Amino acid sequence: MRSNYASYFANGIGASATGEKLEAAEKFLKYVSSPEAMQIWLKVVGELPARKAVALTDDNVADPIYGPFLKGLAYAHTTQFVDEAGQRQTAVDMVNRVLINGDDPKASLDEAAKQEQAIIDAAAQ
Amino acid sequence: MSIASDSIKRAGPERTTVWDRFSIRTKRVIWAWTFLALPILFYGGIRFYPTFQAFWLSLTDWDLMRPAKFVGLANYQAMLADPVFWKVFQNTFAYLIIGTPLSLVISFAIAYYLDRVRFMHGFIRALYFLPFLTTAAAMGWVWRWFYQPVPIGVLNGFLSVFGLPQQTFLRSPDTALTSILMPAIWAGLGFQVIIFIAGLRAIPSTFYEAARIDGLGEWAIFRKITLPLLKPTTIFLVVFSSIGFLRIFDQVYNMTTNDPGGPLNSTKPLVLMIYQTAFSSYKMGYAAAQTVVLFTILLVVSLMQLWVLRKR
Repeated sequence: MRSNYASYFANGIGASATGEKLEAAEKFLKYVSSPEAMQIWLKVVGELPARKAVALTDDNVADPIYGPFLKGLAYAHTTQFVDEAGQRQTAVDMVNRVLINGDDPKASLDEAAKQEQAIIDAAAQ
Repeated sequence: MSIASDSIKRAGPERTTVWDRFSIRTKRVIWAWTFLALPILFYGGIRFYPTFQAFWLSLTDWDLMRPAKFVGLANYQAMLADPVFWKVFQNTFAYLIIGTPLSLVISFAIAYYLDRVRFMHGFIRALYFLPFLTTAAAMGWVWRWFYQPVPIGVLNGFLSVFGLPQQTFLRSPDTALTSILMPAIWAGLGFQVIIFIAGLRAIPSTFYEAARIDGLGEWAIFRKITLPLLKPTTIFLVVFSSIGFLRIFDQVYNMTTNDPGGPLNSTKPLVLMIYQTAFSSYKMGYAAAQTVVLFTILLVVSLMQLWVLRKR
């Protein structure tokens, strides 16, 4: 299975904003989500643009640094977190079992998958 | 004269209230209870009520968002079946069983000899007390750096200067718990030394003089006079430091923040597990069940110590 990891964030306006502040917030949001702001954000901050038209320009895709990341988005998934600390712990322990205890990587991975599934199953109930 | 007799007359029969009919003794009791009511209400509200509520919560599946649902003993069953819980249980007792005797022996030795030192006595005592005043978080981070591998870690730096093998300290499950325990013992030492010195000073010097006149050796004096008369101090410190080690959290959390209680749960105490269950996984019911276990352990250990060290 071909897969890649991606996480994302969204900007929003607080529900309690009114009047002048609401207008200013709308203006700001319109700007940060505009194609040119996204291109600047990619150049300066290094986070990938949400708009495909901005992200997948020939220039960006050919870039040696973020080109591969942009191509990877086509088959990327975002991890479903039901207990972020708990799920993170399974991954930390998985690596430590191999590095410290010298466990077989495959066995350690299987163990981690089992633990993670248990966390997800418990949350689904 | 006339004014005085006037006022006496006015304060006569018609001013007698219920309050006046109580005897002084009863009034005193009423006042005492009025003042006592404040701390009782306070403790009832912020200590005892939440304690009892925790017992109820431990029987529910409360997750902060949805209303609590009664699940019987499911939380306790999950806990007993969880290998991490048993590992944590074992760690908690390791902190207690290594920490308490070691810290008491060290602090007693320091107090016993410091008591005889006259030269810069106050200064030396202040040096021992200083770590007790320091924030556990700051101390945890400094020790964490001490324990790092060579370019950063002072301790491994020393070892390499003398050509000794490098130690893993916090990075191996075998040494991590001891590495965390050492600064924890060191931090509490100042307090215990001060209490021991106070206990030693409270023993009348005439006892020692009489013993020496009767020709008792130093070891006999130590065993027959110092230790028995120091018993109340020792009881206090044993109970106090046991509770401290059973509740250890700050040092562990600050020295292992990347993998709290790690590596591989080798340093995780019960309090840290409760904290993670409640405030990272939001399983309030399960966390309450763990709290009930901690409460029971603290209660049993304290009562056992009071019983073992009781006056005969």
